[in-house]
Amino acid sequence: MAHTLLIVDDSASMRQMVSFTLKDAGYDVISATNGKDALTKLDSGKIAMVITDLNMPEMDGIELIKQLRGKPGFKFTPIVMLTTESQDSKKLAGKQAGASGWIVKPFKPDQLLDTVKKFVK
Amino acid sequence: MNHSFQLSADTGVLSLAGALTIEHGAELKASLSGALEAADHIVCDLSGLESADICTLQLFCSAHKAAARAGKTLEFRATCEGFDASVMEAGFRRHVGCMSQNSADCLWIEGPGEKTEVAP
Amino acid sequence: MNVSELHKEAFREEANELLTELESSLLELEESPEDQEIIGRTFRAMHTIKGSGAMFGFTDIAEFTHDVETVFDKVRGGIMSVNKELIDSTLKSCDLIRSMLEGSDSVDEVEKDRLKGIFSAMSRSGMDDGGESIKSSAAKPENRPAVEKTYRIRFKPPQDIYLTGTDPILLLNELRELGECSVIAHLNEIPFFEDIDPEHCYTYWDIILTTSRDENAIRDIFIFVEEDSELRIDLIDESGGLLDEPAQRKLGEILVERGELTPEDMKRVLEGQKRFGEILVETGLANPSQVQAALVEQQQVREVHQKRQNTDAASSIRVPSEKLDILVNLVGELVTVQARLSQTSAMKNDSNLTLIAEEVERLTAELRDNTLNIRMMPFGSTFSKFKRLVRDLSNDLGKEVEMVTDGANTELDKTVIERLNDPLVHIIRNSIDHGIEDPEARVAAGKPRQGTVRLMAEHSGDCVFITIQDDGAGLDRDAIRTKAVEKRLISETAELSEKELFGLIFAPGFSTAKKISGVSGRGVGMDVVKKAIEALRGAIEISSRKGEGTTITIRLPLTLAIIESLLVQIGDDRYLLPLSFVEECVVLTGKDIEEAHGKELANVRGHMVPYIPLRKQFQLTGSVPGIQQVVITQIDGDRIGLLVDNVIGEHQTVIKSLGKAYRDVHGISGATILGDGTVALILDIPQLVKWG
Repeated sequence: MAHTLLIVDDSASMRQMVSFTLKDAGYDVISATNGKDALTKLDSGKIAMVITDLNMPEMDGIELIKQLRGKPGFKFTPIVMLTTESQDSKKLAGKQAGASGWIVKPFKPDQLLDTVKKFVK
Repeated sequence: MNHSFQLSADTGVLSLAGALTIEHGAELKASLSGALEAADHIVCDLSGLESADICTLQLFCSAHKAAARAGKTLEFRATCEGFDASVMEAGFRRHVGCMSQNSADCLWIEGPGEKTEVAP
Repeated sequence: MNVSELHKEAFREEANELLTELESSLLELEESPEDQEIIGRTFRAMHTIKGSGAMFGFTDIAEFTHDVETVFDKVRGGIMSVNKELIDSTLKSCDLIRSMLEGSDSVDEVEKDRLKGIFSAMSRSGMDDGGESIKSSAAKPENRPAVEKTYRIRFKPPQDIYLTGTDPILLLNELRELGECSVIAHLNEIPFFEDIDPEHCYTYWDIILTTSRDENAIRDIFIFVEEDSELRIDLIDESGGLLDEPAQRKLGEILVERGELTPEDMKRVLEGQKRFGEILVETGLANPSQVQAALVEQQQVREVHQKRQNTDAASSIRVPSEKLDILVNLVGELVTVQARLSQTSAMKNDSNLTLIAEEVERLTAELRDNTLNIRMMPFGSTFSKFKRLVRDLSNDLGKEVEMVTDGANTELDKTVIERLNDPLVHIIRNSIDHGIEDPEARVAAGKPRQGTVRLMAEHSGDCVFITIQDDGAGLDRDAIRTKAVEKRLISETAELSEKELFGLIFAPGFSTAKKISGVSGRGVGMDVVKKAIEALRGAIEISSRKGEGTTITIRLPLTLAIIESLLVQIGDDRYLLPLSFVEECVVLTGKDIEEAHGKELANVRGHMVPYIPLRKQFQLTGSVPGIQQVVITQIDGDRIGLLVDNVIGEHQTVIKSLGKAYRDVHGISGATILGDGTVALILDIPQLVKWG
């Protein structure tokens, strides 16, 4: 059974690129446009990994990570941040919120898959 | 994970099935704990296991030591490919047991006794 | 449309929407410049255009938007405030980004630079937060050194690693993808069952990894957890051989280096009789997993070394030497044909042909050098044979002799090395038999009991010098002189220089050994050695001091296949004189011949030098030119001239040996084919001089 990954980004082109790449690699993908949207899409089964942008309207990525970690099914779920912020402060805030790792934009499809492989068997 | 426990005389058989992951850590600890209390000889039937993560292997290891301290035994029966692969991946397989007085008495020793019952 | 075009198109669409939204936000912002919600929206729009732009190859947009985004980040953070200029410039930026989305042709570069200037000035003003750079590409440089290295990695994750969504097994599997990997888990920190938290990781690992990737590739795997983990990466073996010595370390040494065992404990334990690993575990000085990890390391390094040795062996191949000889012959033919091609093209005066001829000349020269290089062998390959000879001989003769060698890497043509064998055996025999004294005699003379024979090879220009030196008794001048007189080689009253005297040793039939031993002095004298060296176009010299020893120096050309020579002409025929014998050329006029009164002597700066008229020698007919040339050669210190019609110039030649039918022709050592296809004979100067 294919793993299901959740991609959260307010940029449609980013969502398209990420889900295209992941689907191509054999994963199932659910996408959401921001944190709030993401929280409404958690019921569709076990989510193996979350990939989320940080700067988003309604609910940003940091808040989403905090909320997810509080949910019973997401205690051990890998959550990776998509970020253009190479500053340590953003990364640190994300890690403190419970993020597992990060991918710095811009990235290539291969880099995305390499990172996913770190967290999903 | 699925688990069941059957006690006959002083031997308890704990059957475990599915993927043993950290999500089931607390559950597994409780099952092992119950088995350790109920029986002198505990046999873990792993034939239905798909995989095990580090947390699971650690629990087995610790439970095994606890059994030895209490003068009881804990051993694996009918391990399967998935479980063996997990043990290899985690680097748990070894030549020398941690309890030096009897190095054969270790869950992770490789050798002919690996897949069969080890006499207490 | 391919995938990346698809993504690009999606981005264009999205960006256009964002820009429209941005414009209305900006107009709203002008009305209410303090509204955080609108400021946030504006920033996010710019942020997305930048981030996604960079993703889908719109680097110009990403670069341009970077400063705009930074400015709005500052506005968002309250560091800057919104003013009319900012709104104006941002609106103009929207137009510019639109045109950039369409393609570079429609972009107003002047306007772009102007806006860039404005925003970069604004972004630099106020507090500098060292903003991120768009150029911080996530692409990692691929670093793949060819050498395989073996690392020892200690990875101890934080106990709560699972709570950050990371499974250590996946990291171990990533390591396995880098190369050959042995993983040993340490279980000694797993707590008692009642104390164990089933969601914590108590296990830590030692990993021995052999990989061609560097340490950074290993660190990259742990990038998200490195900060909170204990991660130690030690290089323990390298195929470059730098760390070869530690690779052979024993188990205990590995444990001591890891700090898991003190050297004192190791020493104490070593005194026991059991296997080291068992003892360590029994004495509780190391736990089983530590021992296991060290054993695994030892094993893997051993295997790596084994594998490396196998590949080293495979990096050279054995080829029968006849194949090489054929190759050299073919190259020789090619060189000849190439010379003809060059000559022909020079005559045709066709620039295209000249170009090709030059290219062929260059390639041929390279091919020739490379081919000859293949035939080169290190002189050291003969050393063991000579060492054995010295050992056996000194045993037979009851002498104590050590052989010292030097210059093992000096390369010589394979044929030269082969043909050097007999002369060297002879010289070394002589050194031990006649040179090195009996141990008692040596001690009496204040020398060490053990004598030394040195065999050395050394490059010098296009020659190789081989030296055989002993610290024996040295040559006895009086004995040589007496012997020479006895053999009627010299008259009793002859006055000879030291060099001339020693040179007598090379005279045929000369032997100074008082009795004939089984080793040397059985008829075959040094004259045979000299002949053999000369056949190799080499020269031999001897020097000696009584009581101190003798040194024999052999000079040899690097290769026999090619000869540097002087091309000369007699009548219509051309001949080659090996350049190593030639000293100078002088002109001989009819007047000079008259003044010599029928004697074949040339006057070279007041010294009379005898010459051999080759025309006469070879019985050639035809008319003698008015001005002839004398090529002055030096053989064994004597200057002798060779009279020829004309000297054409220097010539590098591939030697062709003469067929069996011509083997006994004196004065000719070989032949070559000249550029125009004619044959030229190579003269054997020492022989000519002897017969002349």
